Amino acid sequence: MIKTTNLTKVYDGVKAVDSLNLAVDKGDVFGFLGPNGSGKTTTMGMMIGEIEPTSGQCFIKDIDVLRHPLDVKRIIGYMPDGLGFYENLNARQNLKFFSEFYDLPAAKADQRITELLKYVGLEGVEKKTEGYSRGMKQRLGLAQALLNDPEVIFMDEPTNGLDPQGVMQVRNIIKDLSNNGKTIFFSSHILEEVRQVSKTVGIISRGKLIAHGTLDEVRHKLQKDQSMTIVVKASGPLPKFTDPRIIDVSYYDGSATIHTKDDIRDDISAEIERNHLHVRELRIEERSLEDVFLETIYGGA
Amino acid sequence: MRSEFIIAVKEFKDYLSSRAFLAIFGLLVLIMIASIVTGTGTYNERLSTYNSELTRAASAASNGSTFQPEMPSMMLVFESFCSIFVLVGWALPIVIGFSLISKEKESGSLKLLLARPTFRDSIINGKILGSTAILVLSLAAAFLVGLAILLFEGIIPSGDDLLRLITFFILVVLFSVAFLAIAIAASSLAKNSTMAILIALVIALFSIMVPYFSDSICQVALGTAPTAMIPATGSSSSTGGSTGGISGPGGNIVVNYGGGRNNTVQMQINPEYTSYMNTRNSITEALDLISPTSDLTGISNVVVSGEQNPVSSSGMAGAFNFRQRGMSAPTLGGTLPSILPQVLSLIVIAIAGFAISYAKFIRMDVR
Repeated sequence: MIKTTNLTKVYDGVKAVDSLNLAVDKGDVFGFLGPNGSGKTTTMGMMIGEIEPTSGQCFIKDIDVLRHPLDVKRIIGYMPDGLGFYENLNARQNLKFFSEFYDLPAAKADQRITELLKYVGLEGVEKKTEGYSRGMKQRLGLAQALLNDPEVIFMDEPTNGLDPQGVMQVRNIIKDLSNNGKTIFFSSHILEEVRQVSKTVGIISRGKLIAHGTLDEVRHKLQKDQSMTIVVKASGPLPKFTDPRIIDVSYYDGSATIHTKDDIRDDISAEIERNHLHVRELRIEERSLEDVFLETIYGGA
Repeated sequence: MRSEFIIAVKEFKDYLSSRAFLAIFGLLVLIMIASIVTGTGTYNERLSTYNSELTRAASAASNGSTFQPEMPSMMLVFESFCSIFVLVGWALPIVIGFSLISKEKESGSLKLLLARPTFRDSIINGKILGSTAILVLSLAAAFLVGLAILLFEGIIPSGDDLLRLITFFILVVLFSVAFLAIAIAASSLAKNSTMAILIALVIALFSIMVPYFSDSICQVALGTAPTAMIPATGSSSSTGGSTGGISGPGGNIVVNYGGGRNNTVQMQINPEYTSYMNTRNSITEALDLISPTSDLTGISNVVVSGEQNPVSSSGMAGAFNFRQRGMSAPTLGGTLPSILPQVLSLIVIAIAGFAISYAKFIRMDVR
């Protein structure tokens, strides 16, 4: 549904996005993760036809964004970061204005606006948007992104600045849209946010896509060190493990943490049983995506 | 509906609810009312004088005199409006245009607008269309108020007056559109509305001040004027760098003694002085042309005051005020070519402003 080929944007000689190759399937919820200033918004801007790429191509539903931007804009919705509305208008008036750009008959547009305001919880709110809280603006932002019942929805930091309740509401809406077959491409600099709603993720750093795939695939790809940690607990004092694949072992009272090159759980289990002990716990302690992400992006900060 | 019109209609409606716009528009209408009321008083005085002169002319005609006083034009009423409008008329287009783009950049609504299935040129065209429409409508409303007061006072414009008024209105619109273009260009160039209005105000101030400084600029650029030698009489005179009372091309100068004395002497003058004065006049005229305020002043001298050329008689002793001397004023059709440079200058300024806005908006990176 979304595909980029060597998508590049250069600002004043600096590559904000560098040869980005990305593919997002139909119905996917794609989390675009990266620290602030990594090129997420620029990438999204090129995908929706607001920013002209320096080189490369971007296709939405096989339509070239650069050649046919209007065709693309008819099938997408966009919720930018730092949302701003016409403050002299209320929510309905703002949506009405934006709806006029689509080929919607007035009655149908009014009906759609009523449905959307109800969907995002702004039904009956008549005040002008200048008095809106951040959360209300985000919800109205979602409504305007859905005006044309888009097939692909782009959201730039949709939960940025929201309180926990607002975050939950946005997450639920994203899940709901995904269940209705929408393809969602959303960016965030918060890993937890991406993990909560995404099926696949892409990680961008300094304009380059450094990992792309499911959460597990990305974690494994980012994990530079392929070693693993095995946690073992037994019914008595553990014997000394001498397997050559072991890098390091820390012994505790009846337990040990083994840093090893391979999965040697079967050998450890056999060794414990040879010492007439029972295995109480034997598991691989996986490094979290967060650890891997922080190590990759921030050098372990 | 086409995108341009969707945006234009929204802009138009927005202005109608904008306090700043309503305040400046209200001020414009007030200026028009005050000017027309004042002008009507002056007109009635002139009309009274005209009636007296008419009586005297009738009795003089019996003695063989052909003197016929000129009936004061209704346009006299608009003269005081002109003199105020050239000073403050730029405020309305600047208030309309300065935040046209910058405000959307600041608020973030531009990102939402650009995400719609419409081209950028449609957006900027729609904005220009909407702001121009409200500007024209405001000016038309102010002029209609003025005209309504005149009719209420029983002053009926003649065909020529009406033609002059329509011409003046069109050229006031052109003047305002030139400032609107400047304001929109500032709005597209500036990062925020504060900077946009500062840029627009500096340009407006420059426009107002240029005519006052054009002589000094010439003095600095060309140095002191050489001494004017008049070989024909053997005498010489130094102008002290002023053009006052001396004019004329090709070394033929006409000295007007002023003070109502229609006594002129044609003389030959040394080429150095003529060349200096010609260059100086060319520079002054060019500097004045780039000022929309100066352009409108020249236009109003011809269209409203009935002068023969854009250079006011008060500023140029060689010019001749026909109406003050009870003579037939030049026809509008006959004098319009004289304001062509001013009109062209306003058109060029407007096109340049819109072109800058257009180019900047089309290439603008929205991040």
